[in-house]
Formats: sequence, structure tokens, C-alpha cells
Amino acid sequence: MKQVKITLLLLSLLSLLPACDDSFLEENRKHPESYLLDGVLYVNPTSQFTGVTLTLSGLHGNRYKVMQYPRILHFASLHGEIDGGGNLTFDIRVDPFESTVNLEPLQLGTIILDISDFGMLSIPVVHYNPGIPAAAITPQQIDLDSVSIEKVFNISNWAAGYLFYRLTAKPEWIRLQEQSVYEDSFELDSTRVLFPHSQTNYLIIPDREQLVPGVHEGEIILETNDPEKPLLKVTIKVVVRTFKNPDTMIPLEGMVIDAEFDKQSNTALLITRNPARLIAYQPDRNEKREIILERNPYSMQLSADHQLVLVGMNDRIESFRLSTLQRQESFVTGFIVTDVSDGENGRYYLSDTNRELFSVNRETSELTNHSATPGENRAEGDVLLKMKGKPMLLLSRKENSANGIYLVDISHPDGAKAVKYWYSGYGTWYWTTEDQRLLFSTHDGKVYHTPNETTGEQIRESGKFIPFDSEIENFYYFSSFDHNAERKTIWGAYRSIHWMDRNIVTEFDDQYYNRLRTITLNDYVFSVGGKADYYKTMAHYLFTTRSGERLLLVKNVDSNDLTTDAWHLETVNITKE
Amino acid sequence: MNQKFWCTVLLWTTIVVVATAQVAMRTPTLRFSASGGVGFLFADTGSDLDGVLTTAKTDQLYQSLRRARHLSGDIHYLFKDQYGIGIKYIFHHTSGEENEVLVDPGDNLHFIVIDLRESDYLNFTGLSFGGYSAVGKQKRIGLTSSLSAGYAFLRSELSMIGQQLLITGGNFAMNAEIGADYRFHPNLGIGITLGTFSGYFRKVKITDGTQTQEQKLDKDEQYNASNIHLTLGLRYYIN
Repeated sequence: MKQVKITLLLLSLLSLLPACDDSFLEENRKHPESYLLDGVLYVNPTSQFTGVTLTLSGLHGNRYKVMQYPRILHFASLHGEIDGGGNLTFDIRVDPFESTVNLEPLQLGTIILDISDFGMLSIPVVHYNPGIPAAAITPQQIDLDSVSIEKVFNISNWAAGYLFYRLTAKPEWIRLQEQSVYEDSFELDSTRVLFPHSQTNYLIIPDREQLVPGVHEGEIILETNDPEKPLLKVTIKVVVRTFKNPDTMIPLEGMVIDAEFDKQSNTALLITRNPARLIAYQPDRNEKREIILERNPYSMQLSADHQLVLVGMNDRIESFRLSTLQRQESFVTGFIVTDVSDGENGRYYLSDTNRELFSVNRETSELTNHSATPGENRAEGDVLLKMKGKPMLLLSRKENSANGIYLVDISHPDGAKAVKYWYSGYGTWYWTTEDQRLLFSTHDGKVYHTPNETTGEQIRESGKFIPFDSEIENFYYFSSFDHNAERKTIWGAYRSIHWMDRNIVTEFDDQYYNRLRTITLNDYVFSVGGKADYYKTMAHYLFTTRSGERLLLVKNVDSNDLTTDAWHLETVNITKE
Repeated sequence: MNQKFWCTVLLWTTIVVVATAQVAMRTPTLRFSASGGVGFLFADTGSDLDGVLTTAKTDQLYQSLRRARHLSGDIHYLFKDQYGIGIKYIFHHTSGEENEVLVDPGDNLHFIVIDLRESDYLNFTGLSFGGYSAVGKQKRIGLTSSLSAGYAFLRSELSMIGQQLLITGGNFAMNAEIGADYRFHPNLGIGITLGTFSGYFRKVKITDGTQTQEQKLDKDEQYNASNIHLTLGLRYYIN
């Protein structure tokens, strides 16, 4: 009985034990670790449950419970277990909601999972609707050539969606900068956004210093969120120069004073000062010959029979045989000969710095001043053009505006009589067609019928050379022309102005003066202060060979900062393919 | 008020029954009783948790909490043949658990999923007035009754939204019972008891293990431990 009592007492006490244990409060001291998923869960409205899988490395077999979730979601089950691969999978369904196009994600809330032996994992839930963009890029090929410091391409998005584009590839030797952003740099793997119905421009800036000489090509590739155009590509080409002039450029020492070309022998003739030289260049043989002149030259002309080169100098005229450059004649004038021409009447006609017209008898060396006597028939000028087959000279004045044109009758060997005068002008040189039928004006590119004794008060225009399309016709300046009768073309060297960036020569047809092609002049490597660099050039004279296969350009550097003589003769192959 | 009325009626009914019983077997001087059984709380608490969406679950939880396991023991000294005085101890325990209960936190954005768990322990000790009246030829059956008044201790263990809370409180309470004993031995018997307990807790102490606060509960928040219970148990008599 006593045992029964004790047993009953013990049972009663045992029943009370659970009612006195406060150890469950210890749970409050445990603070589970909290983690934020490195990413977000993007959702769209769904009518069916859709599986979502998160891979949590290092966890497997852990049980999880959903502690919190956005009210727009529905879970098929609020608990589960991470599988052996660390995959935490749950099925959700998303209620319909209004989705508007927006750059910013719509925050729908946070899922919080309580994962055993791990902690609390927060998963942000967002809906994102950037809309459907329409990506386009132009141009798709960009040639940075050898000198361009930058070029532009355009990205546009003419649709209602936001366009995201990520730079996935670009050549290392270019830098990309959004044109409208100061000191911007569009780096690889960075993503940018273009708003609906907008566009932007990017500058491509090459860094040629890290490239070896040659042609380099690369591609800019942008990944976009446009389902129609997931990739945008721009092909880039850049040329790295060698800082050496090609063999087709022949340096000329000193300053070129005048140049002529004999199409019969295909020989270019040049006179230079400092040093004073006469240079003959035969492009077929790539042969250059030169002789030193005793006086500084001022003008040059071929004799009518193309056998002699007449050179007007300080104090004299000298003639040299074209084939050998040997001096044939020398006539002391006592003044600077500004221009000279073969009168085809046993006399050379010449002018001085006072624009007075002289002639020298080749046999007697007698010098006659045809401008000495004032009167109605007095002619003056320092630019001479002998009319082929006619005893006529055209005189003009270099520095006057208008230059004025005198038609001078030289049929009488001892006299020269001005028979007509036109208040007009064509520039500092007479440039004509090979048959002298037409005359080209360097002032404005106009073509005139060469005036003669039958020409009335107005010199008739034939047309006009337009070297490029521009609304400012006043800028159609030329430095020289060349007519090639065999090819029926006329080349004009544009007299560039630095800021116009028109370092070109242009080919026209000789009937209607339509522009056939334009060649941008090659830059010239020249050392200033020991540092070689490329300089833009301007052609002061240009000639075509007899067959019209080559273009000979007498050029100098054309730099606003550099007023120096860096003359050179360049041969350009102009054979049409 | 109704409960007190019915307790009084029960007590007087027992007294009347005992008084009219034919005494054939010696009434014990001391009666020890130890019983266990089930109880059912009167409190009709609905799903009054703010923001609960799955009210069916909380309803189920509250129904669980109304079903109690009941243990009691008492000693009565029958000093006047059929009447006695003694002490009574009552322990009852209710518990309930519901998982994945959805709650609206009021942020208009989320639902919270919580597990609810509650265990309530009640200990009562009081002075008891009891009656015993043997009936039958061999006097093996005794009709019993008691009315106890004393102090009740509440201990409520709550687990909610990851937080564990211990709520304790105390208050005066009463218990009234009627029952019947069957003496299969002069000193031993078994008995069945039907009783009702009345107790409210108006002031509680809440602690999470680190911070404790006392809270006076409004009338509609008071913990109502009143219940009706049915128990079976052993009886020990000292004649």
C-alpha cells in the first residue's frame, strides 16, 4: 500500500514537470542568420503554377518554409526540401496585374524562406516591363582612315520600349564616348539604356599609337533587348601610317616658282629657288634630272617647237634643251623677267615687274620695249600667252583685279600693238585647253572661249567647273588646270582653304564640265623640329601624262601653322579600272 | 454568475443525496482521491487574431485549446460522518498547434506565414468542502461532492511568428464536483467525477526570457479557464 502511495505521488509530480520548464524561451535568444539573395525573382502574371528553382551551393537536404511572400503570389506548397544538388524549387502562380512600360522594376515584395540549419533567405520579387524597343545603328561601316581623330555612329530606338544595349566587343585600339556626355567612356560589358523614341551618338576615337603600320579592322558589337535585333554591329577600319612618304612622292628642295609639262615627251619641268634649279622629271622612266641655274628663276615656258625650255630669270632669259637640259641661249635683260613666251617669229616676248612688254631678237639679242611708248595701243602685263599659229599674244596682270586682258598683235617683228582690251580676268595664270580654244579661270572655275580679234565686248562663257556641291559658289577657287585631249578630260586643282578641308583635285569632262571624280590629296610627311608628322597638302600645279594614265601633282604642305617649303612632286595613277 | 449558481445547486444536491443515504458501511475518516480525465473549456473564443486570413486554422486551434487534459487530487477529512473538509489540487493542460497560418501584416504587399503553438497549464490549490454518502447494501458505492475555493496559477506557453512567450498569471478560482466511488476494498476504490471549474485571469505577466512586462487585460481579453471536466480515478480511504 505504501508503494502505491509513493507511486501515485511520483506520477502526480511527473505530470507537473512539463508545466515548469522555461527552456523553450531560449529559442528567443537564437537569432537566425539573414541572407539576401544576390538577384531578384522576375515574375509575370501566370494562370498556371510555374516552377522556380534557386541553386544554393552548399545546401542539400535542408528543409525550408515560406515565412513571407508577396500577396500577388500563390504557392503550391509553403514548405519543401532542397535537393541533393542544392536546388530549392517551389511552384508559384502570379495573379494578373496592370503592367505598364517603365524603366524601373515594379517592386512586388519579398519572399522570405526559413531554411533549416541555414537561416532566413530573402528573395526580392519584381516585375519588369521595359517594353519592346526597335534598335538601329548607323552607319554599320566606319572608315577612320589614317588621319581621322574621331567618327560618329548613331544608335536609335524609334519604338515605345526602353532599349538596353551592352557593349560586348570592341577593338582595343578605339575608345567610345557618348557625344553628348562630357568625358564619357563606354566600357566593355557596360550596359546603357536608350529611352523610347530617342537616339544618341557615339564618338569612335582611335588610338593609332598602339598599332603597327597597316590596315586594321575590328568590330563593335552591342547586345540589345530588341528581340528583332539582339546584336548591333559596326565594322571599324583604321589605317596606321608609316611616317614615310611613298616612292610616288619626290621631295623638291626649295620653293617651286613655275611648272610646265610637255605632253610630247611626257616631261614635267619645274624651276625652283633656294636653290635655283631647273628640274625635269620623266614619269615613264621615273627619271629626275636637274641643273643649277645661275640666277633666280621667275618664269618658265616651252618653246613653240617643244625643244627648248625658256626660263625667265633675274637679269636674263635663258633657254635649255629639253632633252638634255643643256643651256642653248642666254639673253641679258637687265631686269627681272616675270614671264616669257616664244613669239614664233624669231623673238622671245617677256615682261618685267613693271608689267612692261619686251621682246628679244634671238639672233641679235636686241631687246625692244613695246610698252615704252604711251598711247592707245600700249599693252602691259606680266602674264603672257602666245596664241598658237597666230601672231597674237594675250597679256594679263597678276596682281590687278580685274586682271584685264590685252590682245596684242605681234605680226610686225619690231612692234607689238594692243588691238583689244577686256576688263576681265582669269587669275594669275593662263590655263587653256590643249588647242587653246577654251580658257579656264582660277578665280571661279568658269570656262571661257579664249578671246581673239573677233570677240566683242563680252567674252563668251562656256561653262563652269564645280569641284564639290556647295551653296557658296564664291569658294570655287582653283590653282591650276590640265586638259587632256586624248582622254577628253580636264583636271582642276582646288586651291584649298584650311578650314574648308578641301584638299582635292577633280576631274571633269571637257564637253559639259561634269564632275567625273575627285581625289583627296595624300598627306605629306614632313619633319618640323625633328618630329615627323603628316601634313595636308595642296596641289599648285597638276598635269596629266599624254595618255592620261598618270597625274603629276606639284604640291606643298597646306597647313595654317606651317608656312614653309615642303614641295614635292607626286605621281598618282589615274587609270580607271 | 451562472456558473456560481450551478455550483451551489450541485453542492446542495450532493448534500441532500448524502443525507438521505442509508449508512451501512463505515464512512471513512480520510478520503484520498487522485483522478485524471478530460475537460472542456467554456470559453468561446473566436479567431480574434488581427489579420488572420486562414481563420479555419485558427478556429481549429482554438477548438484544440478548449479540450483539456485534467488531473486532480484531494484529501478530505470527514469529520462529521458525511461531511468533511480538505484540500484540493487541480492541474489541467490544453494545447494546440497550427502551421502555415496566413496573416496579413497590413502593409498591403505581403502575407506572412506563421506557425501557432500554445500550451496552457493551470494549477489550482484550494480549500475544499466535501461530502461522502455511501449507498447500497454493502455500502460499496459512495456518492461524493465537493466545493473548492482557492488560488489558480496560469502558465501559457506561446509560440508565434518565431517568438516564444511565457504568460503567467494567478487569480482566485472555484471548483465544484459531484461523483461516485466504488469501493472494491475497504481502503481502496475507484471513482468518477463530473465537475466544473471557474477561473479568470485578469492580470498576467508576459516574458520572452529577457524582458518581462505585466499587463492588465481588458474584459474581453481575459483568459477564461472555466471548464467542465469528467475524470476517473483511484480512491484511498482510511477508516
